[in-house]
Amino acid sequence: MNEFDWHPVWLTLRVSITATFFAVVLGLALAWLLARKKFPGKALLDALLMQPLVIPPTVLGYYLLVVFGRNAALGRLLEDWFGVTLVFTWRGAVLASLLASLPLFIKPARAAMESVDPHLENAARLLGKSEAAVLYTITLPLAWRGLLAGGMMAFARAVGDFGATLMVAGNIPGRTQTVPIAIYDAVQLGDMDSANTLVLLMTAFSIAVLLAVSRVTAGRY
Amino acid sequence: MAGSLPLLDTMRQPPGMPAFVCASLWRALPVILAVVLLVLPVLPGFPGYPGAPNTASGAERLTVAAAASLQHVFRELALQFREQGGFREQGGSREQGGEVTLVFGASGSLAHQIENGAPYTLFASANEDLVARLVENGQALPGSVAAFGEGVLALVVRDSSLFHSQADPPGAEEGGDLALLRKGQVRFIAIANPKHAPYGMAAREVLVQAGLWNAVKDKLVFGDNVRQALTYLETENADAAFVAASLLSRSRFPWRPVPSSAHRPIRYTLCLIGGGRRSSPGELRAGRRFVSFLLGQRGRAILARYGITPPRGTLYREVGRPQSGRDGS
Repeated sequence: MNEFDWHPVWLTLRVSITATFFAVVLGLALAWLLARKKFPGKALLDALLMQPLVIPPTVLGYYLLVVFGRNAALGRLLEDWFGVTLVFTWRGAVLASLLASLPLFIKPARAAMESVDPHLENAARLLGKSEAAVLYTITLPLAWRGLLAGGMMAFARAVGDFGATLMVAGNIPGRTQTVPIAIYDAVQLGDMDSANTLVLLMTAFSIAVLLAVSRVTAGRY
Repeated sequence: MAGSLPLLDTMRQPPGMPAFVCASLWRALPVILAVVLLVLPVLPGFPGYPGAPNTASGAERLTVAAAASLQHVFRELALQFREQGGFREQGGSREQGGEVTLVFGASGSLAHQIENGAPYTLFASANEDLVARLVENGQALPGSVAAFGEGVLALVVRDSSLFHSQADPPGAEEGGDLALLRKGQVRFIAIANPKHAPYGMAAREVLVQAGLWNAVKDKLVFGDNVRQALTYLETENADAAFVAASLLSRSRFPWRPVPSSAHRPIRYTLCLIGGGRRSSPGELRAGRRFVSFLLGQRGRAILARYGITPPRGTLYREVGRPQSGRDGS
């Protein structure tokens, strides 16, 4: 009766690209901290960062609502000072998928950085490079496979986030209805044609990402 | 960081990294990242992606939160509203009649979302108490509240033999149909969640009143809203379902209305969500136009076609009631 609605696809790309960008920027710093530094509470930080992998997405969504909701202190601060509302907006969806995908980037990124031979870094230090230069010219280039694989996994996870996104951003067509939520909505409303198209799209995408990841990591591990 | 940049010139290609990634791209990367990082927060999204919702102007856009049972009716209403010229003043261009975004869900869930700041402008509830609650809490504009119809609860079954094998004559009254729920071949009965869906509440009342609640309690499966309860039946995972008759106009499954005396009436009530920064004046204007279309002659005809009868004895201003009393069709 009506043609296929592409809104959810564009919205999902927009949300997940933004989320992946922040996940990589944030994740690089955290992965480097975990891979190369020793500090008290390191195990706890690691455990906290890995939480999204194991806690139910609804719990993550609940925490986000409690912290960033419009009646929560931080949420009100963001809204009053910066005019940024997270609940029921695409930014909320970004935040939810950012947190969900962060551990998927950190894990391979950390492993890749740890596998870089410290002797190479020390050699660079002996030659007078600063810490930043060592990181940028030695560690990161040598760890690129893990970083790229992590980035792709994070992107795939961000595209697929459902539970936390639904709780924070809701299900508003054209505004916060990402592909996974559109699938849920279509099945609920008995619109099996749209559901089938979107499900096939998601399945093809997920397989493509995993194939790409295995290609990237094949050379090293 | 700035000091490290000149050092990059001495960088060699790391083992295993393709040449094209390496030299120039890698060197430019910090600059690229910095630019993106600076620009991203101020971007309202990717501007101009195909069909981007035009949130900037806001005036020609209306988001309606409607009870799940209104799915078909409101899609049709929105379509005809557009054809008729939508939000435009009389004689305006019909090219862009105004986009009506429809959000469907259990009325209770939608009301809860509105209380938590969901950006809806118009709320069409299947339960008048929810609207009363929003008025009380200051989310609804009190003057905008209007009753626009009464819904019919229906019992749908997967297999028409369930209806016929009864001894009762077709169209049996009072509970005759309900007894089929006891049968062994009915393993799952889908209803909407009675906690927040009006049709689920009505279904529970019917079952309790017929003395069947305890007998069929273990067969019940809850859909999040009444549309999902119907999906359980349409995918033939449930054998029977209590749903809204307004969803069944094109259904291939046999169904019978449940006598309305068996439950509290399902009164459709709408209100505009205003106050504070909730809805812009433009959105409220658009909402009013849609409401007057809905309550007007064409709107009422559409409602009637989907089996939503004019409202009787509601808390609110009665609208949509023909002069000559009740009209069966």
